[in-house]
Amino acid sequence: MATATTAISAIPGVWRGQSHATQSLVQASGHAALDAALGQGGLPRGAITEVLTQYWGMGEFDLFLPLMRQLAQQPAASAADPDSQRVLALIAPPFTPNALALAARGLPLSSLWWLRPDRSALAWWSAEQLLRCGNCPLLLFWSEDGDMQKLKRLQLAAEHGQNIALVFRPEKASQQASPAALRLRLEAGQIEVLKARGGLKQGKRVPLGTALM
Amino acid sequence: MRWLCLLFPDLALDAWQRASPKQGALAILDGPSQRQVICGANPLAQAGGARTGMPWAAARALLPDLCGLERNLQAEQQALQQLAGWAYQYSSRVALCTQGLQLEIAASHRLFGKNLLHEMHAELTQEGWQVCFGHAPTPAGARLAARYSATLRPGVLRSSAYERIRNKAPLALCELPGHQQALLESCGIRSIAELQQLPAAGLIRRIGRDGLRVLAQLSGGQPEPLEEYRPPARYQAQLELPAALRSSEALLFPIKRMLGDFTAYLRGLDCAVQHWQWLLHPERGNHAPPILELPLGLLSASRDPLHLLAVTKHALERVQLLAPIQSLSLKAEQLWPYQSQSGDLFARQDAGASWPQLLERLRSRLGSDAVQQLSWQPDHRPERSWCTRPSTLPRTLPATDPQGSIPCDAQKRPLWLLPEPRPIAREQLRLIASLERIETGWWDEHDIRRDYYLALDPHGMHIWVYQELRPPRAWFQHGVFG
Repeated sequence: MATATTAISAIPGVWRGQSHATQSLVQASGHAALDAALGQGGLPRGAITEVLTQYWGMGEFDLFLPLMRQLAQQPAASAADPDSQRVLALIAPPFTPNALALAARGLPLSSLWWLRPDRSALAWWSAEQLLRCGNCPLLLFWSEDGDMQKLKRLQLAAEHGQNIALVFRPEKASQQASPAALRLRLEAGQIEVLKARGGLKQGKRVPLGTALM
Repeated sequence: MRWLCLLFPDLALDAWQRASPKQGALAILDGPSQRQVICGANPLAQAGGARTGMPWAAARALLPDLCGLERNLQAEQQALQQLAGWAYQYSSRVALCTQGLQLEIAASHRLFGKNLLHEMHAELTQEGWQVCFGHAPTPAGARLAARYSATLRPGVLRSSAYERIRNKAPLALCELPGHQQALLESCGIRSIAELQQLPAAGLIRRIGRDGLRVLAQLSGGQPEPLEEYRPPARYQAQLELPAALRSSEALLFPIKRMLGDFTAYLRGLDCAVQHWQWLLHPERGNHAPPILELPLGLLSASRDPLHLLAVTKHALERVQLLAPIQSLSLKAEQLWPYQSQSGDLFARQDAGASWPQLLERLRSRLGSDAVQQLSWQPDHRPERSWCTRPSTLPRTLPATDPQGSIPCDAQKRPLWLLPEPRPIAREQLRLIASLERIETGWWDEHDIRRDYYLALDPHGMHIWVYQELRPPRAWFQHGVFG
């Protein structure tokens, strides 16, 4: 058996699922338990991560706040140069972000952009444009609709820009196929890994240990 | 001194035709409405038999689907002004003349080299103008040479030098009044060179001092006063469309033309624009109020026609045209000195749009109110503790976080706020913790007195609710944790 595996690995162009998964770039989410459950040590960069929730506001914003804080730090040298400004974008969030609470919890507001497109098509367009732009390391996008094609476009854009794209979608979308590298389902008190590239960590549940507030 | 004259033999036709991409048979009409005469016809109309000078009725008999447009002298004059603005980038001495422009090009020739005429010809052709060139040591000579060029075969770069054509140019091309030309022709004088050889004393008796002055200005014996073009400090242009347009997509063609004129004018002035305005009129002329005003702005001044076009295009996609458009105008009140951006020799090819460019695109497409940054204010009232930053940030000033200390209890507040507090029934809530009491604002009539709680709603979501301390002590949801 062992010889067969070595023989197969010797063929050029054949890769093992596990090694492929660990090769891609990851970004620690700021939650040790979640990072461990994902196997690669964090959220994939250059790919979309789908987060499915039953209702908006189940804790998805809170969950990714440490990640936002980490990525929002402006590189000091380029503080005055708008071309290299860090941009964290919230596209079509379901509620108004509470600026005071965000600031109180250490998020620099200067890199946060709040986009409110009036049509879904515009929201998808903006998301894709932002991902293609090199200044946007993290995108949070709330969408009620979406199909394979739209997600695929986002996936390609994220690959191009090497950024983390978090797409929040309603739970019923879990029935649809998706090109996302990582799919998480957020429930009250826990996160379930629905899909992870590499195919090893499916079905794992992580208790959502972060205290709300 | 070397003067160049740009003559637009089909100015009346071009001024109409360039506003529309489709080229049906078109004739321009002049004269009283009872007896209109064709004063310009496009190649398609000419192929069908329409000629300059032909009565409109006769041309209609030949070509039933010939489209006739009345000559618009005002638009022609405006077009010449526009062209003068364009020519200003090649020479600092530009003057208008009948159906054309003249500019002093001795220095320009040194600067731009031998290809100057080819370059000008290519630019004008691209913008929809037919042009003939003539050059001479005097302005009058240049005009004469250009008129001579206009008699040559159309379609190629038509240019003549006064010195070469002086011997063969017919008398009819000079600027003497018609009866004097007839008189001289009856004396057997055929060309301008022959006329110039005659002794002045005899000539003055036949054509008078005014006639002699025309000849002297032609040869340079007497200077010609010219009213030189000065570019206006504010830009305003209008383009009337041959046919009404209903879709914003179709409007892009005339808009592109106007932006071409505008950016050429900006190049002439070495300026750039940051804010400008489109006015879309449902009728020709200026009488009707515009049905749509479209003020546009950039983050930094630019004069790149493609950039301006893209911004206009995105803005047009957001609006609905309520009526067909017959006329467009463009206004720019303030212009800025142009600052060129230095390019990067090793620029990455695939780098996508830079953030300022992208921000501009997002703003123009989503509307500037839909793309905002947040900030906080030291106010305990949750609805007043946040604000959006002004939407026109200067390019050179990146946003900074507000200074000062954040109220210590802000950590206990939720990350999401509802746009407005929403009444909620007490029975649906399970209170988990009492968070804070906010009693403030008595000084500005937005007095609030509330007790805030963390609560669980029937869906199991953590929400932020408050009870009014004032009767009837109603309950409201104000935010969502998450």
